[in-house]
Amino acid sequence: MAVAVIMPELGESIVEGTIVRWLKQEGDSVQEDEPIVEIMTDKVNTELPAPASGVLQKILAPANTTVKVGQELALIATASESAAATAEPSAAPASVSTPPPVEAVGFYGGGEEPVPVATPPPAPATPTRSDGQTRTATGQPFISPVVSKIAREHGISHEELLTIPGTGVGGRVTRKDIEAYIAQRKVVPKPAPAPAPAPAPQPVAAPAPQPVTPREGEEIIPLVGMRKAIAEHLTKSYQTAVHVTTVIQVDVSKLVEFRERNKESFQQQYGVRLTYTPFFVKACADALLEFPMMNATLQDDQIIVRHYVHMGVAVALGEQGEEGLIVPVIRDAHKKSLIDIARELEDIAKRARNKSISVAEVQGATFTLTNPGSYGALIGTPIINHPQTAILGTYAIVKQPIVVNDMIAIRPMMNLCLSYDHRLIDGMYAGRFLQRIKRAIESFEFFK
Amino acid sequence: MREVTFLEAIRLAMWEEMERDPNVFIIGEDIGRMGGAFGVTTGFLERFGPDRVIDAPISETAIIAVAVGAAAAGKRGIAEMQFIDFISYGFDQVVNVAGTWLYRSGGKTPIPIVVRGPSGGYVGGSLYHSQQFEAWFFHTPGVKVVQPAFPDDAYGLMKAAIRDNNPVVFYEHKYLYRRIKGPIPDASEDYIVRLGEARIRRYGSDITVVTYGAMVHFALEAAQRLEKEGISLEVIDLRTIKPLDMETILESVRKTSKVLIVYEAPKTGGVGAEISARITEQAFEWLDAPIMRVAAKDAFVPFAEPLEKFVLPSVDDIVFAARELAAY
Amino acid sequence: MGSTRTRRKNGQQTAIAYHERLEKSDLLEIYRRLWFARIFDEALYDAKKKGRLRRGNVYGSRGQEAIQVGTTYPLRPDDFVSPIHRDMPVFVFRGMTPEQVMCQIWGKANAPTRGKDSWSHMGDMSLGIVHSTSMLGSTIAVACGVLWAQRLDGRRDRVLVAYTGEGATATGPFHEGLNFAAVHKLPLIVVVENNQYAYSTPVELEVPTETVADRAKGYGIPGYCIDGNDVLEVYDTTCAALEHARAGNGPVLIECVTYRLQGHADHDETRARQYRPVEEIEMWEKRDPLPRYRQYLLKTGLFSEDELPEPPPDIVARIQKAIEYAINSPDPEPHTALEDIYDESAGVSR
Repeated sequence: MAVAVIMPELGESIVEGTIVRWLKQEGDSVQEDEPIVEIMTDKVNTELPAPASGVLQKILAPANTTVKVGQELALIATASESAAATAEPSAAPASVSTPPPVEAVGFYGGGEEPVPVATPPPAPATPTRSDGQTRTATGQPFISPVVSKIAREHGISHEELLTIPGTGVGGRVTRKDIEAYIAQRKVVPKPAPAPAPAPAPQPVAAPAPQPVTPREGEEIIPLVGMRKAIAEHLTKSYQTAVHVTTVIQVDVSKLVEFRERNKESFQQQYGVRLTYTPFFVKACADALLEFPMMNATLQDDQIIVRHYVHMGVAVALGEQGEEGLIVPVIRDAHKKSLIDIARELEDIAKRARNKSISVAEVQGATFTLTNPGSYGALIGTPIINHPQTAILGTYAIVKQPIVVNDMIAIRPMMNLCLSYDHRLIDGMYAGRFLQRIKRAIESFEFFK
Repeated sequence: MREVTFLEAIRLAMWEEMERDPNVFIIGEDIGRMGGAFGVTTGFLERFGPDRVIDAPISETAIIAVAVGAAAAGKRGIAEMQFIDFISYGFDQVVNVAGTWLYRSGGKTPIPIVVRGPSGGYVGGSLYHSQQFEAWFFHTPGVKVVQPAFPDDAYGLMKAAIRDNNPVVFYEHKYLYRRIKGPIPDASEDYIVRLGEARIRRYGSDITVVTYGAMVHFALEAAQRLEKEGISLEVIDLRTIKPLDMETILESVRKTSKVLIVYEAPKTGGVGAEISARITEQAFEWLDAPIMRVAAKDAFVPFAEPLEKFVLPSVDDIVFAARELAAY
Repeated sequence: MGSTRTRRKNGQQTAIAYHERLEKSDLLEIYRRLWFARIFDEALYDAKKKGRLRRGNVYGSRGQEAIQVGTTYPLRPDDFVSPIHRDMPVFVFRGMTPEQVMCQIWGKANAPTRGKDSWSHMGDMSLGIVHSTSMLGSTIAVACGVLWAQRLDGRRDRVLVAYTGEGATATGPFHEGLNFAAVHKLPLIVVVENNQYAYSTPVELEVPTETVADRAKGYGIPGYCIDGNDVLEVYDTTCAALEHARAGNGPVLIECVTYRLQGHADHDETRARQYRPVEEIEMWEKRDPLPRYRQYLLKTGLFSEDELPEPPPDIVARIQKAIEYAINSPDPEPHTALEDIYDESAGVSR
């Protein structure tokens, strides 16, 4: 029979500790009271003794794990079958439930010692709750009110509901499960609606919609589909990251000149329409390798730093951009040549507009590039594409008088606006990242 | 800002209100010469005189009745129950005299009184010095019920309770008296906390914890522990039990879909039962699990330590319940 | 058998016959008030019997009029009274209109309690009438609070006359209130209407002492035991008590020995003639305070028979008018049942 090694309360108000190292390994034989593990707490490092003799059968809490007072750390297989007490010395002696009757034996009689009567052990301190049935009488999984409501609001049929993987008790679908499902479901291509920007996190649940009667001069359009998905995604982004936008001005004269001179031959030679975007993709990707925090993502309390770049490039859909936004991804942009990037960009942009793009192609971006300059915007504060850490907007190119070598020159200038998550990125880092891109564009060394 | 204990916050609130309004007076046992069993009214007699700080005989009925009668005649009475448990002696005065006076005077005679005293267990106070029967007054119309958990709320709510024109039963958890310290605004700020407004003491996303009094601190400790397990509690400190702030509760329920109500009083028929019923009535479609409660067992608070521990809720109880709820 | 013995304070007559200062007009007014109280009672019993009053009990005070009149006549306008269920005429003597009282009894929307309560659980602090509850004895404790407020306002000469029955002197709040008032020398006059019965319970099962006034010794205060059916003796004793209280000497207990000629309430008429000996009732009917006082007035030679009608017709008409008014007043709207539970005018609460 196995005896558990329990984490004791090593001091008042100590609730947990960390296993430093096991002094004995699985399979070792141990003696009662022999130290078998070293524990570190706020107050003290201590060695715990084995509660019984036997073989250290299984270590449940390996080194460097945090354990709570009362938690089982390991199991010791004892030699004999006789039941051993638990590792903790029992705190209270068994108490007398009712005093036994005292016999009147006079002065010389042997007064019996009262026999301790063990009180029944207390019921575990868990609150009683309704029988935890998560399957109905027919064997169907239990669907909670909120899951039912969400399913109804998103047009998920009962059959579809049954296919959703559940993490709740008995495998039931929880609110989080269905919300995750919905977020991910939006990305699956359907004949008509366009896929959502990737990767869409759980949308913030809204209260049940109240029907609104339009007044004169008003029309009601339900918020559904991609628009709703975008709304939820951006809300989550904006509420999660601490947005700061910083602006740098870039002299794009070399870029403009190159494009003007080469756009036709490019078209002929590579079959690709040459725009400015591939240059920014390349410059950005290179800069991201040097400034990897811009390319990172924050998950719980861990920063996942990536040393590869999947560049998301925002594409507006619809004639006037009224059909929403999609962000196809150029994978491993840091490895691709400018030409490759140009080709790929043209292809996915076309297919995005045709709504023939696949799920994989809108997932996994580590950074996003957006081009509000294409519709004339001069400066902006783009919203980060959650869960990325930054987004770069390229703005309209405008010829401006600037000072070069103490003389006035007319140059085509472009603002680059970088919105970054201040939880991870500080101003100087962002500034230097932008300067790196600026240098790349201004020095125009793409074909070295 | 001043950094004070929970007890001191209450003391300062009463002092400042007595300075501000000469109609405020206080009556209770041992509150004058001795400054109160817990020292809450230390210095009051010297400052305000025996007409406004009355050392009453052992007559909870008379103590409350004097406050009530004076209130009917235009004063604002604070009636101290040396231990709030003793309010049972003066129950009729609170429920039938004070609670109904406005009602049976065509709205003309409000009764601005505060019946206050130390409540709650965890200090070995045993049967008659540990009670938390706020449900009695939660249930009766015409009486408001307040139970703060932090010094700033105790301070602001005591001031508001004194200024409120209705009878208010004010529970001061004795376990918190000297254990909890916190900042309160300066007197010049005339800071009050309106009755009937809950406060979210910790934001979270997985489980809504609705609680009050000492249990707020237990819930916050549980939340810290559970954070490490990836369970995020949102802890709502009701502050006022009646009027009840269902809005704040429901907004949180819509966020988490899981509710744990924690209250120190015996479970059956307690405030948590009513809150649970209301959430089911008003937010059924938002629930992803049954509404759970952690409360004391249906027993009086006994003396021996293992007995008291068994009856009253613990941080562990909250942790276990939250774990279950999170996994549901 | 109830106590019929009466004793003066300390076995002596009250030193001053205050009533000798009364003018003829006062004497007549006292007479009319006695009749007001009597007709009030009869009219309500009549209304209940005839179905004009359909809801609520009528707690008759027939035979106890001398107490109601004698204890209120010497009061100042700014004194307080705390009447209970057998003191309805006191509300009118202290400034409420008969219409208001009748609307209260009929549970109308324009009643002082707006239909929330019937009978005596009403009041008007601006007239010095303190509202009561059914919890007998609690009025004595609450009276201490009203008087404490006067003390805080520097008005130690305002007296509060609190009425109670002999049975209520057995309650905790009676004791706690009188104890507190005595300790702090509050100007509280407790008028114990010892009508011999608390519902069906005779006084000897409520009070262990020879008289209720004996309880006063426990508080160190003066206790009078007087003939409650002699309106001028009640008047004189009240005047003495007022002087004592206004001078800051503390509370006074006045036990007015009387008899409840009717049942506890209108529903109790039959039984009240069963749990009490009929001879006892008849004996006390002969001590009816009204004819007694009329006899006295005639003996003074100040009045002719015609000046003392039985009853004064204008009072009969006035009370009928008030009843008509109440019957024709509107019933309260149902939703108003939820009004007047909280006063939010302080603006410090949701």
